[in-house]
Amino acid sequence: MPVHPSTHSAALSVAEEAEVVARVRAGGGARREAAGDLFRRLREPVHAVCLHVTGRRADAEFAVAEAFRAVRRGLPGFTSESRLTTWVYRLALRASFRARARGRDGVSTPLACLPAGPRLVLALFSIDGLRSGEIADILGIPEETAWSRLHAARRMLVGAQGR
Amino acid sequence: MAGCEAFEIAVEKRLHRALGEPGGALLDEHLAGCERCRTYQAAVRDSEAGIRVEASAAAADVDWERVEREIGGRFRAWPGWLAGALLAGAWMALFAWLSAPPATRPDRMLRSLPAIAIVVALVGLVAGYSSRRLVALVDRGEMLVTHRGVLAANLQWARRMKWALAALLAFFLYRAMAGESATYDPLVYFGGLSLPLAGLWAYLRHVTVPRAEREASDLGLFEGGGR
Repeated sequence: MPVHPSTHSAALSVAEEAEVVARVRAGGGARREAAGDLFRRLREPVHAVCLHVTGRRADAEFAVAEAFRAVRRGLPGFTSESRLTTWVYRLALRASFRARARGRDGVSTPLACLPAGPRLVLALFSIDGLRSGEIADILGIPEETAWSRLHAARRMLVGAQGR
Repeated sequence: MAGCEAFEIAVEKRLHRALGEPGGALLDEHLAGCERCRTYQAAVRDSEAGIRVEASAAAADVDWERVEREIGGRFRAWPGWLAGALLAGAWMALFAWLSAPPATRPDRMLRSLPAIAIVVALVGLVAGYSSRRLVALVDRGEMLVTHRGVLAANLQWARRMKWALAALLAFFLYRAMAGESATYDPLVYFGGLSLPLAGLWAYLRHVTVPRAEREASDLGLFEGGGR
């Protein structure tokens, strides 16, 4: 079942992930194609996460490129300890923190003023199609904790926006 | 109102389509009589809409083909360990070249090739192992805690490296000014070896360490614990 580049959902199904991993293990052109398809499939949700975590558009683009470069390098050694999608988002979060530290100027997003933890939770929950269980896996915390962190983060954001 | 926090979480769950029917009915009943939770619900909807609109607008402006080209760029796709190993090899080659009188340099270089190859292989192995370990760490534990731990270790390493390089540079410069040698010119030898180290030191001092400190500060690494 090929991964269709035109569909932009936030997560791959288990079967789609297995297909990507199999193509990567086949090596050569199939590996490059699988990495390219994965990028086209996840680029928009990953970009949204990077945008909210970095707080700036230029940094978000940089973080997306860094994250998918890490994906491309790490895919052959991917050992399926977690879901492929979970791993991709975790790489994207790490890339976003590093990109934000580059300290470039630019227009800030609404979440830019929040601390890292709340920014992270709000960014992930804003992605359509990413379920709370998947978000909890990405953050490495229990699902109920993810909800209570979202609530605390939202209170902080609403407070910061003067509501 | 007491107990509103649970309903506020229920508001979030409904917005993210994770609230079942019994919970939904309870929430509606609560909202009907709680002004505070109704205000919270409106604020949640507004802020969520704002966040999503911002992301859609930003994504529409991205040149995805350019980003994809950057990802696949030949040099940027090089693993970090390979660059580190090649730099170490280049420095060793410079070391061999400058440590011989001009007439014997080609011969000295040839004789040094096995040693250079061993250094390149060793640095490549160590750096490759570290980067594989780092990729594996991405999968483990609470994301923020793991990332803070890796960042703290990297920051400590970069600071130590900065001071070690500064000490080595000071030693080389001292030897360049005061040293004597029958086989090579101390000023050229130690000065030549110092230049790449000075570049590396400046990069650590002005780029790597400040960037890691900004990231650590953003992640709350300095809060309560100092440096």
